[in-house]
Amino acid sequence: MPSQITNYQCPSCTGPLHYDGASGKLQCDYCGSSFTTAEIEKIYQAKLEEAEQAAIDEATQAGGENNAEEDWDSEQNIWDAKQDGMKIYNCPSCGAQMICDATTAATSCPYCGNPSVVPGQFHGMLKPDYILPFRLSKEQALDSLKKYYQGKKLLPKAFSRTSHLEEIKGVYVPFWLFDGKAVADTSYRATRVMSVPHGNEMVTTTEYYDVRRSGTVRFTRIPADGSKKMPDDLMDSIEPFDYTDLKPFSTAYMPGFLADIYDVDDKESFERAKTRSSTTALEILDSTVSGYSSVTPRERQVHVQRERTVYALLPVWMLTTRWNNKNFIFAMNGQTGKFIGDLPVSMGRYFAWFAGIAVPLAGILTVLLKLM
Amino acid sequence: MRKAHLICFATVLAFLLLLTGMCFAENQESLPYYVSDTAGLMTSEEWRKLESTAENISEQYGCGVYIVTLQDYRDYGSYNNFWDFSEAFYTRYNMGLGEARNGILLIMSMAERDYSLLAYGRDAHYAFTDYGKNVLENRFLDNFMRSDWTGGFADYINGCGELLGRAAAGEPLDVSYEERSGLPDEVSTGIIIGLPLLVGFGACEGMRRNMKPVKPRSRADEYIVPGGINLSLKRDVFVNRTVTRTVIRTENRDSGFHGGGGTTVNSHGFSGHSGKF
Repeated sequence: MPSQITNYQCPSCTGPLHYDGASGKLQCDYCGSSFTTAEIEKIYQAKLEEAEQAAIDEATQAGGENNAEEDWDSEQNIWDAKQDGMKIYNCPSCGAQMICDATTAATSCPYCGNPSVVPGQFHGMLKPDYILPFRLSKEQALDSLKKYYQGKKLLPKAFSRTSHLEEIKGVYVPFWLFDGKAVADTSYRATRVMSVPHGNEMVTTTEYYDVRRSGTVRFTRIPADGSKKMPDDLMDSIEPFDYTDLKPFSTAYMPGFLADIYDVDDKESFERAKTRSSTTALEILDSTVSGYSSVTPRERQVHVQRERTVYALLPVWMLTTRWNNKNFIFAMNGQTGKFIGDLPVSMGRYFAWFAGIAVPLAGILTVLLKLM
Repeated sequence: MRKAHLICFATVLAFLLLLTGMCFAENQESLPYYVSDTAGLMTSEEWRKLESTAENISEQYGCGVYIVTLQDYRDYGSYNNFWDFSEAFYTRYNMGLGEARNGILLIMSMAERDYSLLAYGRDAHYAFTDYGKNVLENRFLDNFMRSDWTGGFADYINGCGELLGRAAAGEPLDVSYEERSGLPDEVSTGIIIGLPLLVGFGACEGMRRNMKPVKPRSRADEYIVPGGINLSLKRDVFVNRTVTRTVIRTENRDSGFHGGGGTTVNSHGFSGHSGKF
């Protein structure tokens, strides 16, 4: 039975290849040769098709009767894994069994370390339209983490010293990119107040206006991640990505990185894009109401029409550190380098800063009030 | 009989003042009394008593304590306001004692219930601070509101005596720390404690928020298509108009006390203010 997994090997020495973001080529870890993605795609086309067919075959079999023979041959833990929605693959390099999430599309063998791609995960509707290749390396992600700690006044001193990096992985995260337009219609009650002194009286004229605004705002490629594993707020926080670098999807960009297929469909993800575009459209209309003393919104209606949806894999470095039995997750945009993550707060430092600001200020105020 | 004498005295005094007022800017004369009641607000007995007290205090401290009442200051010439008249009056009648012409004058014009309280001379400014004059004024104005003229004048003269006494002891009545800041104790304490706590908390919360920057995005500004904003309706319809009129409360009476300590002396060498009683 053909393997569902492909690992890209160097055509020169059969060593494992990995995608290098800086050069935009696949490089051999052993002989140092480098190849363009087009070259590798050409060489591995047949193998990829074979792997994809194997996946389709397995899916067809799973749809029919249970393969009793396979069940009896499998070990109990593998059976359990299948029950949990996991998938089992054999590493084409060392033959070891790899148990992966049902959504895993690219990984590396935990035994031999060879990067592996599961082309079968990308057949049919699951095939992304685009991929945004990694531009930044693991070393740059580590550097960014160190820099990220700098200047954080409330960071516990011990954190940067004693926290240890649990995991760093480059992940192609499935994203839905939505095109659409928000059609908004709003009305306001506005007033314009003018006060003019007249003799010994102040004459205040208040004019009331009924204000209406309607308009459309077109959006393109609002991203919303389609992975349950990835925290939505973290993925939002590393935006924006530069879409001009988007490439037609190819698994050749994946060796050396992890990749998932989506497990949150476009319909569900669209709700997030819809909320964002509605808010922005209303704010744009609000900003056109000017020259008034007061503006009170009355009716606000927005209808967001979804137009084109693109499915793309976007590059994210995920870093996990552990400190005081707690995990801290950071994410770096694998293309732009935008780094973000929540950090622990030292309450000792918090109160030290508090006292450092409040006490001298109290002293200054005491002196100033005495002088007044 | 007493009343007749008083009317006669007031008439003569008014005539003299009017006569001298005609050439106000040219000549300098001295008033014969510390208390000159041309408006006829007191009996001769009351006048005598007040005059005697004012004289004693003035001579004791070397600073003239004066009261002048008039029917209408406009009878004495054309002045921009009552304060200008008051200054001119003090100068015209060469008021004040000693070389520095130290003195304090309470002058009233009954026609429009104007009064001025002005001091002149270094020692007078030292004794009658802005705050001191304000305290003094509060003493007699309540009497004047009840038309208790003699009571008000007595309070004024006695008050002047107290202020001059304090100045002689080297402790002129001036604003205390709380009054200088214009804030009551509780407010000052509130500011000294509350504001630093608020600023400290605000700054620390800012730093804490900086430690937790991960937030879901609520806007999509950067994904707007260039030229993708189309405002199809922009309508501002006038509905109605309301007009309200409120009387501007003008405070004619300048309290003269502005919260600071010491004495504010104008370019003519006078301190004080005018107002209505």
